Amino acid sequence: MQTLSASRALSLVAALLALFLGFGVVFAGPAEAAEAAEAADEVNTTEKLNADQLKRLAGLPEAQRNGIRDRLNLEHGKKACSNLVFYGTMGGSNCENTAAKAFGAFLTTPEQSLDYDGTQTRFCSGLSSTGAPAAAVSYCVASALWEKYAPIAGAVMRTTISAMPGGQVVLGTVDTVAFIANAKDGFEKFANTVKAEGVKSTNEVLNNLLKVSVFEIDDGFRATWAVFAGIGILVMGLVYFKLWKDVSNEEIDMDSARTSLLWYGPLSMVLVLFGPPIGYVINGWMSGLTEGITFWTSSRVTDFGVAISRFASYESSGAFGPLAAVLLFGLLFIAAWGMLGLLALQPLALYLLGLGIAIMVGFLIHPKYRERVGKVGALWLGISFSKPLLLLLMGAVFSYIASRPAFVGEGVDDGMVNATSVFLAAAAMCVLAFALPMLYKYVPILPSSSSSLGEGRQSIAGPAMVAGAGAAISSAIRQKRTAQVQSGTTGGSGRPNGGAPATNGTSSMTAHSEGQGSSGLGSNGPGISGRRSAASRVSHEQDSLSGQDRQGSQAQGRGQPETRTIGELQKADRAGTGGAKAAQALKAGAGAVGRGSVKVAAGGATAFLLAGREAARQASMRGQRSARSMAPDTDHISGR
Amino acid sequence: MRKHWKLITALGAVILVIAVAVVLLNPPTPAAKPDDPSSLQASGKFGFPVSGIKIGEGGTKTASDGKSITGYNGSCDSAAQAAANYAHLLRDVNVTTWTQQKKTLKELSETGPWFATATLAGDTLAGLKEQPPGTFEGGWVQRSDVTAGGMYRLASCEAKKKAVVQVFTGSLDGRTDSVPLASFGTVTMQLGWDGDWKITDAMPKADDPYFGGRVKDAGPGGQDPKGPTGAVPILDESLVNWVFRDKSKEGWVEYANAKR
Repeated sequence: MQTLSASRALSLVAALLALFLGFGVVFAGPAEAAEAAEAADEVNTTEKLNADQLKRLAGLPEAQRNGIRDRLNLEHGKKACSNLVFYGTMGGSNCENTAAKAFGAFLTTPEQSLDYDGTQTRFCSGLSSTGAPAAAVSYCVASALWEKYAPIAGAVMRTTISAMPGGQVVLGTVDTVAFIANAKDGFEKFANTVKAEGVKSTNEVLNNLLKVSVFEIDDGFRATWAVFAGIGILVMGLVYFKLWKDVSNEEIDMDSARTSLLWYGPLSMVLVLFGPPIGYVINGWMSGLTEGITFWTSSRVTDFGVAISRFASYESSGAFGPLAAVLLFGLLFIAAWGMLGLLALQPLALYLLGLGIAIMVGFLIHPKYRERVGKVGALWLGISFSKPLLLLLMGAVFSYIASRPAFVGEGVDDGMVNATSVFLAAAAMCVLAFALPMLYKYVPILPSSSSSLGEGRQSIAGPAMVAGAGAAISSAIRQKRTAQVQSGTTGGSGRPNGGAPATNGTSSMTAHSEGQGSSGLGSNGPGISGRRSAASRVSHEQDSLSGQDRQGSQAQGRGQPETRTIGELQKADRAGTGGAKAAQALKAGAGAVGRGSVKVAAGGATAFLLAGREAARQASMRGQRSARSMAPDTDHISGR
Repeated sequence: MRKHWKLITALGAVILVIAVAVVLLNPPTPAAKPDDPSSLQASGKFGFPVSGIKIGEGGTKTASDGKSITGYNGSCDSAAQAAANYAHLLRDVNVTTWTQQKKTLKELSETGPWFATATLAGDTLAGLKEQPPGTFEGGWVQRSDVTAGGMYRLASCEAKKKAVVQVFTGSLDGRTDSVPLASFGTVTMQLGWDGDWKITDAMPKADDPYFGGRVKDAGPGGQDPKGPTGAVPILDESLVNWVFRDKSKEGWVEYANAKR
């Protein structure tokens, strides 16, 4: 009976809530709709440049800024003169120029011209100082009633600006001219497409460089942190067991055990609680730094944007033919996306590394594994510092490029100079996109001797950031390597094969995409499309070949399961799902207490980043083994 | 007590819901109140009170142009009517009938420094040898449409003495480059009693939107956001918000025969 009445009360509450919510919807609906309509009206009438566009406007060269200002003032003048009475008092024909001059008297920057709100008094004094007819001046002063000098609409402003040199840069639009006018065959059309795409995407990238995803420590991150930190605390419990086991085995003396318990135990708990706030503070510093540099960089980027917009008008001439266009603009395209990808991956890397730290926090209490946490922390710091660094470098590189002869003044009307300028721009962007992450090799994640994954290797997290998305590829590589280790061949002979599938894969991918692009275009040119699709077929074959290769190696690996160690099995499992990883962490912790859990936990969080590292490590291992194979074996002497 | 926790929770939830409902449903009532000036009748379409007086009425005679109504009784309502009926004299510019309009304005006013300002546009345009492009419908340069605006604000009034009135009117303005553009604006004038209401001051200058402190602000105004269409639009909610965007709505009253 009690439950019955309680449930009845509950259903009453539910009914009331439903009623109430219904009312809320009914009442709020129209109001919101009206507000939305108003907001839409607001946008239509006052749509002006957004913050990014203003930033780019601020970065334009002085001459172009003045040009835009004068053009806007003329537009203001036109608007004022379209008022019949004012036109009459101004004495007719020269009205627009005189009015533009009057506006120029007080609107001295393009921003002021854009911001002009129709305040009449300054315009009237401007009129009197530019020698307008007395009637016009007194008419201007006469009346505050009607908005004769109303500001020009946002849409008109945009149209006006887009017609000016540098205007498209400000607005972030590019009208690309076809590289080859009247393209005859598929390849020429392809060249046109590549050029248009290359210039457009570069332009887009430049526009978005300064605003792409920012890493923020928000509620979502805190919630996820809490989950991972929970696992981290479980791991900590396991590490305690390991600690005592090592103490009892006399691998660790009591002193360091005491330090661990009294200092690092509490410290790791503090970190679990205050990790996000600490991260927030550091991240705040970095955003401040980025903000500070952004302003300086944005003007450089704008210079470069002006240069890129010049590419839009390039046409085929001499040696700068369709093939060169495909290659050079294609390079530009890849570099642009690489750069954007780098900036976009940064927050993701920070996010995942942060969670990795949450899991690894338990390792702090074991003297042997302590430094790994520090390394990951250092990597986190390094990556968060990379954005301001990238922006600085970008500013430097772009200001160099923008000062090349092809980009200064009216430019050069020479095919080769233009072609090299495209190459220069593409190469510079490539450098920015792919070279900066190399700096991370100075921020190794783990000490080289702390895992058996490979000795004395270099740790490069940077390529991981770029190639990080290829976690699947990395697992394939890992499989392959495991298989190779087990097949018993020496490193030197086995390695070249190890590299082969990867190279095959990429080359076939690019060939494939090219083939697709042109066969899509080639519908007008049948012969070419046939050739192209043949090429793509070849690449398909390559693809499937490399796939088979990989499968073969996997089969090989599975063929000798009895030789695989637990550690290797775990390694192979690393690329599993998050839940699997967590389960794995617990399972492995219970099973192989210390090392296994260390690897799985660390690997789980950083598997993503390790993806590219694996490839780099392979290369360095190969080199080292070949070097070692030439050196005398001294292991038995040193007694290792 | 433990048995009743569900009931208590439910009660708590109900109380919470009621509290929230009270908080959420109340604001509209107090928000609606300040808009209702005490003495006037029910609200108009846009929340302004509507008075009983009409544009084009209130007088007994007409001026020499045959259409401007004169002969008021001196009450404050008649001042509001006189302002509406005089407003076109301060706004209209038609190059073909300018002389007559100026004469009428002289009849219905006491000249002062403001007079030159009020007639400047007409004098200049009518004085041009060659008509500029853009006049419409037989010499019109600016043509007021008082009923399209159809609102007034009595800034101050003493019956049979003095009144400061602002009239919100529509207008069709000639453009040199397109069809005429509609606009809305406020005509501010001071009326004095001299047997009839006469304009004693008008047209605040650009640097004096407060008319020497006699009005609260220059009043609503703005060009048709749709651009030149050749016709004065009927006021709607968004237009009202547009012309009043940074002006006070307080004190404005609709004429009974305003175009809505």
